[in-house]
Amino acid sequence: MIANLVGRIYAFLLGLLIRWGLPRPVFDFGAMIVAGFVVAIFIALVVLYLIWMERKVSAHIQQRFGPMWTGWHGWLQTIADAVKLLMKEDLTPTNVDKAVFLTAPFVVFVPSIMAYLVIPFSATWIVRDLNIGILYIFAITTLVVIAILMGGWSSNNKYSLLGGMRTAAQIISYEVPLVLSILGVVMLSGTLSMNGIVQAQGKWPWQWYWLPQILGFLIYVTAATAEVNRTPFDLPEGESELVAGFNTEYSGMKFAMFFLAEFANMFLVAAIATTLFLGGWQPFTGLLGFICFMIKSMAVVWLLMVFRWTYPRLRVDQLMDFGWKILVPLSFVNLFATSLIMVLRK
Amino acid sequence: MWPYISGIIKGFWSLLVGMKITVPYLGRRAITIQYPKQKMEMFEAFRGRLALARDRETNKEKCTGCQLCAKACPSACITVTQRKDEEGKRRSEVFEIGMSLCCYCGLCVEACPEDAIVWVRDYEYSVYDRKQLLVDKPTLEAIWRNSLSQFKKEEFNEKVA
Amino acid sequence: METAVLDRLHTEEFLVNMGPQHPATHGVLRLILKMDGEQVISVTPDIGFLHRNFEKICENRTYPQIMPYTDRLDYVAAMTNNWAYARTVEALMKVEVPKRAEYLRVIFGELQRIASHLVFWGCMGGDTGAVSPFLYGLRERERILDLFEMTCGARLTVNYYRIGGVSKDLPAGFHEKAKAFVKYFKPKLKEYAELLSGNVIFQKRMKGIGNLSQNAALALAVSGPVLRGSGIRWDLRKDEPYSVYPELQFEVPVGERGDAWDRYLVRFKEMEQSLQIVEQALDQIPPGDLLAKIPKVLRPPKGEVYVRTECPRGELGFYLVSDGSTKPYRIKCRSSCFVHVSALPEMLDHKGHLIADAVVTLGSIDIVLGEVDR
Repeated sequence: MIANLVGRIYAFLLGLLIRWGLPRPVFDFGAMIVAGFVVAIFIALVVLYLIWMERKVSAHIQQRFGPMWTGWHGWLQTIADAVKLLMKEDLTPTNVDKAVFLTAPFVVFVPSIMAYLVIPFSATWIVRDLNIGILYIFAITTLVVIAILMGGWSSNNKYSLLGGMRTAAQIISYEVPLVLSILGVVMLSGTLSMNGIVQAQGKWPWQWYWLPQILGFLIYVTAATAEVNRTPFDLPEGESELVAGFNTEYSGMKFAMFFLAEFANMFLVAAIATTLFLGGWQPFTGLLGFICFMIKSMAVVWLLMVFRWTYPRLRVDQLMDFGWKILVPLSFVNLFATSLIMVLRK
Repeated sequence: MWPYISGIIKGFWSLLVGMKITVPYLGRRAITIQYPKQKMEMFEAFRGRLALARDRETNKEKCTGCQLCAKACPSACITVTQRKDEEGKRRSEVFEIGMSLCCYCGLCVEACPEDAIVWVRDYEYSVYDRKQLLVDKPTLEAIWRNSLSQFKKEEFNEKVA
Repeated sequence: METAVLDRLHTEEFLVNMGPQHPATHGVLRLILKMDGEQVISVTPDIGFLHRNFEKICENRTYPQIMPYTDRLDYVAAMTNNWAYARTVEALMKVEVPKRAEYLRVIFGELQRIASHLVFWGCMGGDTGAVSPFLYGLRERERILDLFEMTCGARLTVNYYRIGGVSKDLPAGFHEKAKAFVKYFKPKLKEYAELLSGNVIFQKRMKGIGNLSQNAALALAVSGPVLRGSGIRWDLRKDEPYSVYPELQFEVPVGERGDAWDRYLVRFKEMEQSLQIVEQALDQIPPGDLLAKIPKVLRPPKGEVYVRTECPRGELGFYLVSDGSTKPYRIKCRSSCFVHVSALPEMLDHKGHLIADAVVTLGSIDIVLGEVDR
């Protein structure tokens, strides 16, 4: 129903602008910008909700209430925090590398937004269904490392430098099991396109890939927690040690950008997990499919939040050990088993 | 080889057990109260705020100005001087406590032979002006009078008798 | 080939300052870490940020007036500080404390031990990154603090013990509440063992970190759980028994290797043992006086005495020199945490530990800066 509406507005505007003599490519370009805006606003709203959800989940695990005063049960708390961060003094320490320091918060957001362009929110609600969807996503999300290294290096601070380097090592080494674990899904569905993978899964929960690929799913969730720097892999932000890692020197709006980018990334990996393993928008289409998709993604995010508030964090060398010595062999086992079963099935 | 695999399985299992403990808390009621809207009543023995009591029946001052409380105080925050009242009985003239010096130990309450200086179960008495922290005798008696509404009569008589 | 390359690579050691304000040092402690890359080469603790002149103040106060000051030494375990001081003066004055008062002292001392170890347990979780155990530990501690508040009116700065006994008797309803707490807490300990002790990540973070060998432990004069974690069975409650401990059954847990994990386990098991002691004492407590018959104005005889007590953090000793007047001539407080901080370099230097391990080691020796700096 909504897709119909959007289609009719699109056709109407197309007709209008062609009558005024606007060349088609310009119109297409304008349409893409509008789509990008919609995605960005969607991300902003989702992040707003997620931050509130994190505070409530963490509070209730600890048997307290969390925000209760700002709006009904504190739902306006995120906006209050954002306003507070906007009003904070935006310090730029003297000896920082100015250009790098000032652009790092923005660079950290760009890969997430780019990756959201291929997430299938519903059967037809996808900005661009690239036929190399998955490959594109993993290629783009690696760019977050650059932003973190920029933040850590430019801060001219031993703590930030250590934090930035650790994060870079962590993200790069957990990319390997991350990508390997989803290869089983790609083999089963036969396509790299995100919408294609969702459609290849059936309507029923037992047909979705989390069951035949249970090992891949678990490895994906673990590696994804490491990719977004959440406990037990949140050493870069290890509050107990390096204060805030690469974030230490950032204050005000710049810090808010890093903070929001973390939640945007978290939702991104949850959305990818939903698409690949939990059947995406199945079994409904249209608006209902979108709601289904959101519920599933929120469940994965909820799981990530429970991880954060239950487990202690791994030390940096244990983290690397775990990634290379346990996750990588397991993902190879998963790959091998999947291909063996597929060959035997034939 | 086997220790490697069993290590993975045991580790994974311990993580699941950890979640089994924290996740049920999401369904339980929180144990904190929303402070300004809901307030807790303190125990009887609570060391909240100091006050000067009077005899409930005759409304005569209990304090005789003996200065035992001032001598017992480790922080030397009580200042007491003595006078004689109309009937010739000893009473206190000046009775000041520096609440910013007081360490709330209760040695003065223990030392008083007349149970004149008492604890009141009040804990909301922060001030904006530091001068108000030096409480004088009228204020101390007013604190005591205000506190009477907090106790039931039997409790109160037991406490002060 | 590798060493040749590393020799030509000009690497420098640099100093990292875990300053007085830091979320992981348990108070205002400054640690100067000399690092080679990620590894800690040496650690130098810098203390004194919380020095409040306790010993000098005591020279100008009468003996009963010193009691509130002892609350504030190891502020997480105030009852046992009170007890240590009361015992010292009683030893000098040769005062016999009545039986009921002794039992009350034991009950509150052991409850305080549980409360203090709960703070340790929570902070251990917090130092390693799990925040929820911190809140769970403090939630249980609230119940113990409620018991304290019922009895003496305060939760942290209790000022409950007096020279010659205790100050107040148990209020109505205390027995029921205490028994209910014991009943509630026993299964909780099992749950917490599963949550943190059983967690594979936590074990990996703690095992093999901050080793303190038996010889080093003895040479550095550590005490309490740090000593027992290194494998030496020495508990003042058993080896130099005082109060009514001879009449109570309990065991003393001992570690093996002296690493952070052993110290953690020793404290965890001590909680179970303390619970047992509280249960027994609640059953065995006789009626009687609360205070021995001592004069109102205390004038201990001239002389000096040193008495040590088993506090949750180790051995707290008071050395008292009296000149026969109402005020002590000199009080020296031998605090266990001060000694433990000086044992930190032995546990961390040249062992290839990382900063994360330094934080874990510091947490495992469980210091309170109030006692370190007095």
